[in-house]
Amino acid sequence: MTVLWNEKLIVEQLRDTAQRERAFTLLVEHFKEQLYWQIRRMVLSHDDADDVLQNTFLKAWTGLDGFRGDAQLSTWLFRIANNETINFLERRRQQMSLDEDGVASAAATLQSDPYFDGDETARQLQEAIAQLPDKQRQVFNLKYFQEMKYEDMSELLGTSVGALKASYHHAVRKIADFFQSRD
Amino acid sequence: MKEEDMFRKYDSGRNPFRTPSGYFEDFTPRLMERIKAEGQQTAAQPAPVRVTVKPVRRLMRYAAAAVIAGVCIGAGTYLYQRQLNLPSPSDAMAEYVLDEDELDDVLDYEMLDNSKIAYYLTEAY
Repeated sequence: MTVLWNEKLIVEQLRDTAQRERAFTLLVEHFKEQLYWQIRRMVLSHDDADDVLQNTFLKAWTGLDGFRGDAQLSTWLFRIANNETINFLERRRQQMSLDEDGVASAAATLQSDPYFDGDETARQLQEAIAQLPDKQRQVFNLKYFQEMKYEDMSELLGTSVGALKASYHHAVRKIADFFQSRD
Repeated sequence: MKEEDMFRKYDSGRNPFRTPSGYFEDFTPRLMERIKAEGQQTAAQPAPVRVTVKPVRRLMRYAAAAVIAGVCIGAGTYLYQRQLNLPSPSDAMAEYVLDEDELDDVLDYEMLDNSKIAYYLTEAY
């Protein structure tokens, strides 16, 4: 069954405690896949992406009273998901041993994830992306895989278009260097 | 050739990530169950204990605070005034009165005899 998405109506219902739960269920239905893939490309493993996605919606649920409607629901949820993802990666980095870098960690994660079925070249591309700093990875994923416009990205990440272009350029350069060093 | 085209060969365009079958279908009911469970858990937790203070004890606290404040202000005022009223060194010298024994000691130390004293007293010196 397809439910038509009416953001204004959903926002009104989210403010009404009697209708809140139903409206929130519709919100989850509408955004879960989009947010899942955004998170998954950052954390790589399915189990971690599932945890972060659940935490994202839990934060959204408990923070509903703080949503003033200045931004779109998608922007608000994207930002929560982004914060949850960055916090998760930060925690994981703190648990990593000192001699383990992003590439080794990504390789280990992909190796142990039964829900990654890319071939060797796909694995290498993910490892190349994993060496980037979190912000550059985010920008690269949004631009390269999701083909998001810089203007939209700017609103989501709160960063200027110029800085995003520079960030993407650096990311591409580093990934190209990664492959050249392996060829 | 653009730089990203250099590694397009590593990207088949196919998403290498999968999800368990039925994951997205199950996600929403699973999440809503968790939200309900966590909400009930929060509701079941005892409310934080608020320490209520009886009116008499509250008055005693105010009185104690007032006494402490009064002592502090009084002590501060006393010390300030004392600091202002300190005599100058010359006044202290002028008010210092030697008793006879001390005077004899001074005279002995200076080896002054009565004639010298008389001489000084006549202002001839």
